[in-house]
Amino acid sequence: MFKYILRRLLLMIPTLLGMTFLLFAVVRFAPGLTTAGGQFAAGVMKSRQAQRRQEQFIARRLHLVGKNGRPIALPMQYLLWLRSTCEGHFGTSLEYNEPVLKLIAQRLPVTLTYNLISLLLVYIIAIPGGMLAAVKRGGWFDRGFGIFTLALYSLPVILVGSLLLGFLANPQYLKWFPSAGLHATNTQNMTYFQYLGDYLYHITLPVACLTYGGFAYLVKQVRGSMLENMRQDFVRTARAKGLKDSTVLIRHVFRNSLLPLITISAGILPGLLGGSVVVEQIFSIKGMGALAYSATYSRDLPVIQTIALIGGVITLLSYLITDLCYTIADPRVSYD
Amino acid sequence: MKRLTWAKSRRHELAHELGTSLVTALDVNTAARRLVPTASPVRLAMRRFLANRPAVLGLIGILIIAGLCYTTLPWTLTRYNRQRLSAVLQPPGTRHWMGTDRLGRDLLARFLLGGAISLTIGLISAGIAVGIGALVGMIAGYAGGRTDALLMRMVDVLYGLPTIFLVILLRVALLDRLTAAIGALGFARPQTVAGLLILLVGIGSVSWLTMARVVRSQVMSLRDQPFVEAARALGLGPMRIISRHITPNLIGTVVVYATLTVPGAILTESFLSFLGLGVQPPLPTWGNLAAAGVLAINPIHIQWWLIFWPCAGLTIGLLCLNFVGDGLRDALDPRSR
Repeated sequence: MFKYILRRLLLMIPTLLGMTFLLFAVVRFAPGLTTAGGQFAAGVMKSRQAQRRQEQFIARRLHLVGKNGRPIALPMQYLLWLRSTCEGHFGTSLEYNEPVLKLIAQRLPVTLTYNLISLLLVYIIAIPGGMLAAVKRGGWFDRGFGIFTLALYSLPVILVGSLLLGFLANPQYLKWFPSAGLHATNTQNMTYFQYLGDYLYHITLPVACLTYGGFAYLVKQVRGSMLENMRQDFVRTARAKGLKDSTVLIRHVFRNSLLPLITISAGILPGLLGGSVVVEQIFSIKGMGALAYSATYSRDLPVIQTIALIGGVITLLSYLITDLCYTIADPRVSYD
Repeated sequence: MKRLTWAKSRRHELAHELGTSLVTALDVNTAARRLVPTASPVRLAMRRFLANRPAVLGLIGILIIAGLCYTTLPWTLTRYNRQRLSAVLQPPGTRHWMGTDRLGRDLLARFLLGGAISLTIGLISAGIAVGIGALVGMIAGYAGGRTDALLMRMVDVLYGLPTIFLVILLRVALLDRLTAAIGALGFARPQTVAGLLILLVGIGSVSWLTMARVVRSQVMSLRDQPFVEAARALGLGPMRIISRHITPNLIGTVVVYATLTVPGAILTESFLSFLGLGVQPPLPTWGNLAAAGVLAINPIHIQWWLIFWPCAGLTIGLLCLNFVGDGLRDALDPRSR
């Protein structure tokens, strides 16, 4: 087992190197690297001399030029950036003028929290739904639920999000939910439970937006693997032993049907991170998605690179973890 | 009662395997007799697809929509950007069936052209998925070893970076240079063309990944089947084995995943349009029309037609495509049966 983990971790290295290389190549192609960030925004008055000094400063910080002011060759730039990244120096944001790591440490928990809540909801609803659909195969529930979840999946988030915001969080119609942010303004004098309640109240609409589209695929997978397991010999044996239908379904069929779900969960998490760009934009949430979006507009190079890299690492790690869970959950699979 | 459902489900299964959902346990025999001479896999799959009512409706729907969007192109291309400032923000009426937008442009023309562009984006990325994805998957799966490892690392790299970030990064990096390059070639609207190209490259560069993975695993399992071994024992070369013995077994999977790529690409374009990174106006797509309409939700006057038509087009189009893809998957993909 230990050997397997080690091998997988070592295999991640070339993939990560590929990612860094791709990121570097794409980002270095961008024009106007040194004139990025808030210092150069329209309306900020600066003498030409100050501006040039600023550009030189940024160029040095991005390893575009050396200490002596000479330009550095591209491969060397890549190596320098790689070295500082490996050492844990992700650089300083050009726009916020703060360490990138600090910015991400503020934003990542926000996005991860409501993404995980949404993931949990998807599973809680999709698993029983898929089970029921499999048991009642061909019945009205099976067909109806399949069509319903696929229809939900087809609704674009921008439409649903904006309609929810426009009708349920709008004083003109129904002011049931807050329209922006994750907290009320007076959080400091709330008790813990009030705070929690306030948080849940604020994330209802964003989580709904992230959740509703996720059912279709999962329901289909649960249903498919349930049906496959129902045909297995061990199910016939269990029934022949005289076990109740419900026992057979839950202890024999369902437990085996959970295995493929582990693999699927790996692909869902990175997708949610990408999807949160849109949701955070609609509901004005200050999370990773919003940070990535504003960073691309202000060409905040260190932030873009770090976010993409962290997204990649999260993806790779989630694949590794799900594979490990699979070995633990299914004794038939071994990687040694 | 329970037992009855199980028996019923077993019967359905049997019927399903025979390719029709209508046979009862009694006429399985007759059905089987009727089936023997015609049971080619393609026909079985077609029968399974035709028995799936939502999928058939989806197919009819998308054919009608696509037909309308593409056949009206000559009309919409001259109309989509014609502004009538005397008729701004008019509700649907006899002159403008879908109303006009805030520049007095006919929404019907924009809607139809937008549909054509959206569908084309979807089709092109499906083409990329088939062209690159299936090829890479086939090579990786058949060659195995180092080639496989290298190609799959490439797929992993692109998989790891979230789609939206990748498209955004490409846009930031390439837009200005590409605009200059295309302008030098003498195209009419260099920035629009460059934006469109980058969008297609961005969506295309991620749309082939799933296809590559699925095809690879399929090829790997096919490679060890007795009939491939037999072909190898007969002395056939790898090219011939791939083209004659493996590819025909892949067509189902490829068709399914290519179909599912189309709505995915249209949806991604709508996200990007919402963020201001998709196809740039004045060119319409369902995505950017919907995004513009959604931003026009306004507490004082709701111009409902600005939101309703594009969103209806987007939703119904995606719905039809997803139903078709799903039906095809049920009919063709051996793993989801």
